[in-house]
Amino acid sequence: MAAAAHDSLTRARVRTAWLFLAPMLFVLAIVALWPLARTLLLSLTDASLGAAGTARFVGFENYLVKDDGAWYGLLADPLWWLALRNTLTFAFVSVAAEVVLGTLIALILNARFRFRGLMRAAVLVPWAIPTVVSAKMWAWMLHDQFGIVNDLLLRLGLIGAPLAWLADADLALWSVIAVDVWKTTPFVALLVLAALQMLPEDCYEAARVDGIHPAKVFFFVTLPLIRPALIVAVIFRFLDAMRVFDLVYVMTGNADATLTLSVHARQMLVDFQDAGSGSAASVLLFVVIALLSVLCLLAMRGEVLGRRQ
Amino acid sequence: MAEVRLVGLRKSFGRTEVIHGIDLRVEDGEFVVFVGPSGCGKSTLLRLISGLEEATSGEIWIGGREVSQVPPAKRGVSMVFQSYALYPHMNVYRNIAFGLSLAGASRADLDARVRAVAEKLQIAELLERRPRELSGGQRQRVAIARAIVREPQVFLFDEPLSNLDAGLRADTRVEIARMHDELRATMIYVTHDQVEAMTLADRMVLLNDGRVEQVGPPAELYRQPRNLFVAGFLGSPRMNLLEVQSGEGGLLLPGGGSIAHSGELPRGQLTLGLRSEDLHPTSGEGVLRGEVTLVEELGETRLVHLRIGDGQSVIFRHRELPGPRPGDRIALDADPERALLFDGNGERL
Repeated sequence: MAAAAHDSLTRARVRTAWLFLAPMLFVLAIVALWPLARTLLLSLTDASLGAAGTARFVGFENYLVKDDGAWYGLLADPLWWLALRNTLTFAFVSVAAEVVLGTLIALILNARFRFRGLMRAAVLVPWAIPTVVSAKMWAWMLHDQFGIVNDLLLRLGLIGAPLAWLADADLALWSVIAVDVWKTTPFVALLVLAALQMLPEDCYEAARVDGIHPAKVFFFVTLPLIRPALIVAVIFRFLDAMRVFDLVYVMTGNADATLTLSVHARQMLVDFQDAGSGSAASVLLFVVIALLSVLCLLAMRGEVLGRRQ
Repeated sequence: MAEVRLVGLRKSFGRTEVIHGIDLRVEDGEFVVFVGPSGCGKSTLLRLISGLEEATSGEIWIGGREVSQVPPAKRGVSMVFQSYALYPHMNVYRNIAFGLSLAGASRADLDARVRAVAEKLQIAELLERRPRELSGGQRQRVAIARAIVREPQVFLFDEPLSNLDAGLRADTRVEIARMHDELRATMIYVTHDQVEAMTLADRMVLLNDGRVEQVGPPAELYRQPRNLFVAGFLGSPRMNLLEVQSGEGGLLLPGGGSIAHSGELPRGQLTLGLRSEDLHPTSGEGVLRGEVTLVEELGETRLVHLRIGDGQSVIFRHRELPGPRPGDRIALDADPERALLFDGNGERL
């Protein structure tokens, strides 16, 4: 009797839960699931933006196909592999720099000094500026003839002649990475600062009384304790960096030196009007990110999601 | 081991002075307890000695060395915190050893010291555990072990038992007393709990509002409080304080009773202090008479609240069975030897 009542109560609760979830699931299906499924379908056709409605099913030809003894398709395209390499370089270098710098800034902001509140607000400015605006701003500052960066470096005597920061194939990717670091470090700093403020103050007092060197305290107490926050920051930033589009597109357009997977997909889809290959490029980007996410979660399993400190 | 001496010690936070010039001498090997109501400055005083707070003025001497400008680590003190302050991500062994690593000792020597201390505090089987896998009492032992292992000149305890439940608190209290007997180290202990203070202290320092009210052995503070604050702070239930009139040859009590008093007394209104255990029911006239309003059963004794007229009431400790009931009329005799008198300024006469 009691068990039956309990069961029906549980059923009612489950029903209510689904009822509350339904609107969100519906919206998600429209804005995420449907476009994804459509992209997947399109990638299996030779659809073109110019001639809609004439699409023909071509199987995996957009991805990889052997024809007359030669391989064709995205996975056989050196440009796609270049885009993958650029994207991975961009993601690894920018995230590493952002985490190191963000942690340093957070440590400084966590110290007690005058105007700390003002400083905390000021640090957020780069993060608050729309990406397109900051990308355009930096593109001007890095301009080879009229940019302030070249002007400063010349006056300081650090370079002999102006550098083409965004046009030079050896410099462009690093310039874009530097701007991304400038823009996104505040986000990491904020996450780490939040973690630092949760740390038990008495542990630091105990360390002071025990005479433990501040560097040792940082590496053996602070760093392990803010590790979960750092991991969250790395995952967020890394998955974000893998999709980078706006910054690169505004600063260097479709240039090979900075071509990322997102920029490449847009180029196929919009510039070449090739909806089939463009969709295939999007799907591949999705697969790459999904794989990396799974790897991240596996590597960090228990650190963030499972075990609670 | 070392003596600790404070000379004219002052501390201000911004413009607010919280420690108003404290002079104190803690002998080598002594167990001194700072006690007082919350906000009296006892923890701040301890933090000044440890070096976690910097004194605004005055001197701090530890073992014959003036240390007020010396960083905490070089003062030769160990501190046990109220919250234990264990490193949550390190196991017990690492927690104890962490402060030692830089001391320049060999690894084997270090290991031996950690294990010896763990043995002494009966946490040897917990060395691999993390703090969150320990009970409050075990965490407290780890915190104490961490303090002992550094072999400091002076131990500082900041309300170390206040996060423990009552039973454990009593046990740990006994252990700290035993530890002091064994180590014969100078210990300064802060608490707001007067039972802890009375049972542990060689000498108590009763603080109020950043000033020392009285320093002395617990029994002395209890029996011969210098003023009304000390009298009221120590003892549970609080000392009965009665408004009395001094006259020819004695004191006139509320309700008409009187106590003979030899010696000179200022004329007029005084305050008479009587502890609950110094009042006894009598079949005679007594010095105080009244009606029982409440009986608090404590098991071995009971506290009886007696209304004695003029809106005043007293509490006395009743031992015999059966106990009185509310509404009973009772007469009490007071032990004149134990009675304390305070003048209009609250100072004891």
